[in-house]
Amino acid sequence: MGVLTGCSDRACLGVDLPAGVEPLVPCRPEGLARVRSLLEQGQAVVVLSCGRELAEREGFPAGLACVDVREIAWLAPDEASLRRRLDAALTAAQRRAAALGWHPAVPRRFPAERKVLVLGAGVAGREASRALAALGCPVLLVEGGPGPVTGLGASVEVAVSTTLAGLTGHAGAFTARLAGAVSGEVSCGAVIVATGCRWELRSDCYGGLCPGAGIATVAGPFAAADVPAKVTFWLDAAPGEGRWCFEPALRTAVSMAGAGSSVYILHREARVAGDGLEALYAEARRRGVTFVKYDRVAPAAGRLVAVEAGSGRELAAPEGLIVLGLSAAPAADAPAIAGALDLDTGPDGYLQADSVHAEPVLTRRRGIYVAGSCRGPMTEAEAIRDARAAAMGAGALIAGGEIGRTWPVAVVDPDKCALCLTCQRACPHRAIVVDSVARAASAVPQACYGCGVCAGECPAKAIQVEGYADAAMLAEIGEVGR
Amino acid sequence: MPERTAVVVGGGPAGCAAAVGLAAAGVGVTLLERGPGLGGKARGYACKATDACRKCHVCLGLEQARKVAEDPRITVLVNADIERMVAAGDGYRLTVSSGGSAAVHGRPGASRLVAPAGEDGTLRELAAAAVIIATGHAAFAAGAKPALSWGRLPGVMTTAELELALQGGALASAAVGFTPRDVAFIQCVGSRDEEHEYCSRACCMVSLRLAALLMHQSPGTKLTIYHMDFQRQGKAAAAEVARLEAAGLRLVRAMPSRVWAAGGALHVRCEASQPWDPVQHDLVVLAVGMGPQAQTLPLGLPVDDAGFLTLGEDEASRGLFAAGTCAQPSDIAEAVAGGHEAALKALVYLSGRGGDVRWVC
Repeated sequence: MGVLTGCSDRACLGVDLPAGVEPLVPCRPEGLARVRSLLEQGQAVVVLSCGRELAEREGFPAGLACVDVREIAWLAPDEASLRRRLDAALTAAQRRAAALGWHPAVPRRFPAERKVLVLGAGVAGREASRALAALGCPVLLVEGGPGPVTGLGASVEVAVSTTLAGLTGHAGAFTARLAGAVSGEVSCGAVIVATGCRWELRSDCYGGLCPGAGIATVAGPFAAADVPAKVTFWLDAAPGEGRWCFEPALRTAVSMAGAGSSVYILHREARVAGDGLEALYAEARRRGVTFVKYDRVAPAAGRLVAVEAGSGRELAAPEGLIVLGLSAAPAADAPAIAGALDLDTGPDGYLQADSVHAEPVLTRRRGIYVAGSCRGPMTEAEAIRDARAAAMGAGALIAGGEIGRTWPVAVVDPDKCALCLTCQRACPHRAIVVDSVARAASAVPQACYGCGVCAGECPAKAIQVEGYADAAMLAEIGEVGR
Repeated sequence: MPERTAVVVGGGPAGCAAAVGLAAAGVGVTLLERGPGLGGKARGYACKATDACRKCHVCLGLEQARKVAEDPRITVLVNADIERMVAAGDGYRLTVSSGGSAAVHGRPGASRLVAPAGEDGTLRELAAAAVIIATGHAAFAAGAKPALSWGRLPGVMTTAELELALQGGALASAAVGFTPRDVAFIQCVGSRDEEHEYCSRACCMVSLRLAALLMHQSPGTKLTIYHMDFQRQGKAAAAEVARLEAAGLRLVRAMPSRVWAAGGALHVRCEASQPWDPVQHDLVVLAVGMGPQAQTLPLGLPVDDAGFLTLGEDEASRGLFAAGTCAQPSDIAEAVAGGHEAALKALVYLSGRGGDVRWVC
């Protein structure tokens, strides 16, 4: 079942080695030499150490399986489950090592273009551009509107009245096709999408009311001198409203109430799940803003009244200046952007559908990030945080002029590949391309997340995942698998 | 003072996300964790997937810890308590005491410890140019609201306790000792009241996901969520609420003032203008709010009225940043994004001091 070795540096490992494990320090030359000589003798070797990437880092041949003890030790909720998890991982690694007969050599790093393409010059797009520039990345900011977009510094190039027509390539080496005022192809290493969402007044939900004399929306603008004697904010009548709507209403209400207006807010829920909103809500109440929670609205004698469900009690009718809530909806060009980037939209139409494990701003395609309201409506502060997180992600990925890869990745054996393209259809990360020279499919390591879907789907069994070859997986599962 | 070094205080989702980002940019990172492991409170939470992923983001939080564990460039001190943190030169000097089972994790050469030779339990001195505080929050101690009977009645538990019990796909029946047939969630226990003038933001969706999980495990379970204002967070939230309401979930706008046991059932009475008859349930789950982390207070950093850190531009200009729920209540996804944001700010700060960003992929 192979030789068990493990790091003897207890401090490094965090736990005592199980019995029967040969101690060595796998990150020191003598430790590595011992592992190498065992492998050369044809032994299968299991190494318990502080990182699973030893095989990858050292380019070891077949027969080596690693157990990341650090991960087990730190993530186990208690000592008993730590021991249980460690035993299970050891058994599995022993079986895996004995069966590993194939270990491809995939490079660890690839050259990458350092330029980042940012789509959309709204709050999120501008913040992402600014952050990337501060990190030393050149930026091309593409905005569909006429602009002007200014004040972003010399390392941010701006193209207004321009849209993205298509994107080919992969993380570290995308080619974007632009159309409009600036057209042509641009190389970039990563893409941040920050195209925002659409705000609309659903008049149909607000009894046909439209902005005009005596009627406004929460977006304003309200002049500083605009102090109506009476103002009613009417919110929550339409779908797509949330705290991004409640927050501006609260701010305007607080300032108007402070200036002497009598202010009413008709709403269904106080949307206070945001930074400082509960305090603002309390401040509004202290300033005399009257909050009325209604369940539905009903027409009554030519006007609309808020009604409590159940009791049918009339609660209030909007009076004075009427300020209506705005609904958020996906931008009209969201499907086109999703199409150009080969991303999903969710059932609600926003970019970034459910992608389990994908971080909120990281899409299913490596190197493409979504930030701000294009992935779902949010407040300005949230959009800025999003943009910075996306810039950090893109920077860490390519700013060094090199791109790493995840471990493991899928590898196609060109001799077995029948070019049926099942893998290309199955790959959620668009990592499979056709290698026209080898006349076979090929997994681009920079784009691959190592999920193994292609390996599972390949009818010719031509795809294996590094360190998780079919034979090793079957051995690991053992009797259960049979 | 080492030019490009940072200390991250706290090994939860936000701290781990920050550490990984800094390490990728070539910054020497030391992560200090008070407890024995990484992942913070997310380690005690359950995946709440039913027939589909419900986007509770617990796995996302643990993923950050996994990345730290796998990253040999990050030095981690677990069981580490900060005794002192003082501004020194143009950086910070931290004195760290470690408990009996302290361990320094890191490959030889990766360690940035100033005094790495300290025996277990002795003080260590660390110096860093930038510090990110990510010490997380403390869940509200439900016992402080005795009328809700937590700790006195077996059928009353907190959301955190239910999460822990449901870890690894455990059934609620195994977790609470009986098959719950009628479950009540009480929102805002330790949020949005006179002592806590803030919304804890994550709890409404946590209760909703737990309700969905209980309903999935045992169809026909009666579920009630008592709330003030239901905070639909995330773009799919409205649809999820509608789906569960169609399946029988009751959202009741009322705040229970008392929970007691009688005749083998738990009785819940609500405070409201109209007279409420007590309602019977067999399991009552208290959605405890997030409060500030008391362990951060000795560092003498500025806090708001509630006790959450308020590190602003002034502190940022001196290389001190906050991330995650030590600064404001948030869900896990937001905490992770906050960690990335703090890493970015720290990087920009470090490069402004003359050190180039040397990205290592």
